[in-house]
Amino acid sequence: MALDQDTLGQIAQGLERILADAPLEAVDHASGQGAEADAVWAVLSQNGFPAIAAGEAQGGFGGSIADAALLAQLTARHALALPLADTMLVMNVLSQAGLDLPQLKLALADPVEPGAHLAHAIQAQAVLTLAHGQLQLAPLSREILTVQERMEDGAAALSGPLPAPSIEGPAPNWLTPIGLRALGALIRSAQMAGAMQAVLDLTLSYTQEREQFGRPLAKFQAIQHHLSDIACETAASIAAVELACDAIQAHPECPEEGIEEIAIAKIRCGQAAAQVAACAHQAHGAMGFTREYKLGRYTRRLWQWQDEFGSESEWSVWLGSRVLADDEPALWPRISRSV
Amino acid sequence: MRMFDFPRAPSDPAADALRAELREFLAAERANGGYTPQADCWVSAADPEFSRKMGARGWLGMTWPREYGGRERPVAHRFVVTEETLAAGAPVAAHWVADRQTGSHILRYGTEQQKRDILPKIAAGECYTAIGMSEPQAGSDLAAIRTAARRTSDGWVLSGRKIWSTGAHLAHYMIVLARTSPAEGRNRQVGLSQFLVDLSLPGIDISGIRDLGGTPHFNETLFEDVKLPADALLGEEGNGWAQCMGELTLERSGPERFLTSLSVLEKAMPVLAAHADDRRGGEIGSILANLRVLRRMSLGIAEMLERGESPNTAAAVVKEMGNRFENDVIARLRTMLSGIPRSEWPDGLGTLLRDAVLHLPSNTLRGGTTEILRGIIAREMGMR
Repeated sequence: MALDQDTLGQIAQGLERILADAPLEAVDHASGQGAEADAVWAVLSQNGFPAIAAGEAQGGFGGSIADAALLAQLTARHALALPLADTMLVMNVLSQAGLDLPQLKLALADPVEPGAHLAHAIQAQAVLTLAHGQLQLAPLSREILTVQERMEDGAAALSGPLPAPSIEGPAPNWLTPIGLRALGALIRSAQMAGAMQAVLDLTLSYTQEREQFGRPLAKFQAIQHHLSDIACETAASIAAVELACDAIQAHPECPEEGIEEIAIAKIRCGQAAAQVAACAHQAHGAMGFTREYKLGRYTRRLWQWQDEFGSESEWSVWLGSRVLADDEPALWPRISRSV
Repeated sequence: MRMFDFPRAPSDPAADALRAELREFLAAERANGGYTPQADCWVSAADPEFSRKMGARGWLGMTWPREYGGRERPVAHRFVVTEETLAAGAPVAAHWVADRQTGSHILRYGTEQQKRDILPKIAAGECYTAIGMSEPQAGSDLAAIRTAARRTSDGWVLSGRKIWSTGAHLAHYMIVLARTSPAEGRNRQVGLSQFLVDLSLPGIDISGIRDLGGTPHFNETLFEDVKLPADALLGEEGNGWAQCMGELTLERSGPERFLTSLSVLEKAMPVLAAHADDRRGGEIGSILANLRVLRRMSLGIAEMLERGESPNTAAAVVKEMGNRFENDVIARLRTMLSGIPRSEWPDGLGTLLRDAVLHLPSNTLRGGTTEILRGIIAREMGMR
């Protein structure tokens, strides 16, 4: 299940156009809620984006997780304050389990750490959980949520038990808790790579316009080095996401090797996010530290996404422990493995 | 931006077969005492006999035409050979520069005679070369070189001094960047030319320089009115700067820019596994993630070279990150080893680690410093 490259390219262009025309800054300031947010979601839904990575038999468009990751990268480049990326992912999982697809904004609970904050909880209308081999989609309402202050995109903690699921069924055998967490981590990695591209563009134009000591900041070598670091880390993040997408495309049932590739992407993007955010803020000076200036829309999300579905540290321990547990522990066979 | 495009290489069963062949060969060489794995092996471990063995197996000059001793194989296959030998810490220093850049440069710019005379010998692992770019007063500021060549009735006369040429003491040829006409005002990149110099000619004096750790791998070469034949001019007169930048792309783009320290780490893996905990696991996971991604990018560069592109910025990106990461790997290895009694370390680990530490400063200097590479990347972004 995957879209061919031409079709995917056209879909990506279509999404890009919608995002470029939408009042995304206002939607963001309203935390993805209200009339403007609803209008943007309606346009995205009318164009079929939420179900893009769901099977055609269930009314989706037949895209893969890797296709969803590419589109998630785009939404992050535009700091879209709506749960499109997670909805695409949840729809894909429901579809792979042969379950019905609801026309709702969806969230995914971290199956490995149920106590983690729930991304998009306030924005989403239902949440997918995986426990004891059962997938359950339960409605979300404000009564069972505690809003996480100063988090992006309506993240919240569950303060009570979820209501009875509206949709449920057995998860496919291959879909383990760590496997589902990995799919979430892949989407977050792609989003981080997308946000970093936006941070690079912003920082580049800011330092070319802003003058100090009689010349643009961009002309100072120290500033050039910050931009070089941002560019390198961004390039590495894009490559890491491509690698993981290639692996999941080749082995859609997320075998352990595929999870390892996603772990690598989440580790690398998480590390890059820290450095990119630090360099960008340093180059922006005090202006970047204001709520009004748009850099924060990206860096606040980078710092949040680092931790969602396993931080770079958690995945590093998971990955490295597997290597060290091998009969003949070695790095090279994994570094050089064909996808 | 161009620096973000690292194309995928198509999957290739022939490359997998080649990799298996390499691993078998390297394991056999280690088992029969053919070599002991070494960090920084592409600079420090020169063994002409080993180079000849590789040549005999068709693993040098692999991408060149058959008529010049090559095998007409894709760049991705050469990549397999280079990364497998680096990961194994094999003694590849003797032929490294010739196989990586000089041979390809001769193929592109040399005369038919030079191609027929020199390339088959490089491919056989019998002919070695060195780089003649830096001078005592011209390091990062390469256009400040003073070595000059003057045209005579039947050739050229070369005078000057080159420095930091790795392996020049073993090499048969050096590509020398020299001034052939004056700079035009502030534009010093004009008037430079490249020469293919036979190092056995009279008037050439090569003296070794010991590095920080005491290894005599690089050299200073003095050229005193060396008479060169007319065809020693490589490529076009006055085009030396552009040619040199092309050579630097070949020099910077390979996996040696992030795999130099790997053999040390691999040596330590059994003892780290015996003391596995979350701290060590976390470091290993992080290192694996970084190296896996660097390799993915490096493979993308090989694919660009295959397509005939000149990926100079992409090469700068991988080298810049790769070099800094390599140094970080050694620091992390020291952290992971802390708390493990020396008596449990595998034989040879202490020496390997010490050697790697003493080579650290050169990773971020040779082939273009971190600062120069960042400048290249900034230029690509329109900041300079």
